[in-house]
Amino acid sequence: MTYSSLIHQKSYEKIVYNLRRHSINFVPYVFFLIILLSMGAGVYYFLKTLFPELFLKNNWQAAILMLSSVYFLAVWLFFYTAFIDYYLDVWIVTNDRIVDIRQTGLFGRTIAELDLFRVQDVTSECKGFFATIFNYGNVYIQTAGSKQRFIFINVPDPHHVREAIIRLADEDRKYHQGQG
Amino acid sequence: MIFPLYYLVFPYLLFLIIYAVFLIINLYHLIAFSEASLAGFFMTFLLLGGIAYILFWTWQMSLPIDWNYPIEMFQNLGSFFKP
Repeated sequence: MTYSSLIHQKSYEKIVYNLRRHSINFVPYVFFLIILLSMGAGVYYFLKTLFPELFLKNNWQAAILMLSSVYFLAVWLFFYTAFIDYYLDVWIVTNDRIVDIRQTGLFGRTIAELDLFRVQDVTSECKGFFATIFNYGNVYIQTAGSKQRFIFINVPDPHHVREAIIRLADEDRKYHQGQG
Repeated sequence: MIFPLYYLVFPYLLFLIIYAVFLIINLYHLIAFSEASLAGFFMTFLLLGGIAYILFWTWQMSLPIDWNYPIEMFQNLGSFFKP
């Protein structure tokens, strides 16, 4: 699947930005994975050291093995699901519209669109130590007549994105005024 | 109640079936809603490699276990209710 077909790209439309959260936002999940794997291994060696007789009994050995296997498989899939959740949140900016695609868990998916010529106000925000160091932050897009606003969460280089959206919105507005 | 140890494998197999369903849903999401990319490929490779390793480890560790070993459960249940 390409993003062009995902958003049903029009003939005159050109994808300008394809944004997702900065990759640094995925690092906590990696740390969490390491902690969970270490915990599993820790409990295993704790049992083996303190209760070695358990590993001599056939039934206990089998039960511990099955439980360990289930635990490690579950942690591994949890990590991949977290990646899918992170990776499938995409904001696509074209020269005609903005498409907000959000994956919420395994069974939730929201797609929202906004015409660029409706954009009235764009705000970028880069807040916090890591956000400043790695240059990522939020971009808030306010539309005319609508209370709801689009938010690009933790995207790289938010100030540059804001400038680009304002420029694209101006161009699109001129295009629509020219047509009208 | 006495049953052989390999009965423990049945709930494990049931878990693996449910696991496979979730795995397929995840892979479907990645294929259907994103473009092919190095990050997606790398993470999928890591996932499948990890699963293969864990299953191989489980199989290796299960080799010395005597799966026909009889398990006795609730053997003292009768005496528990006796006055």
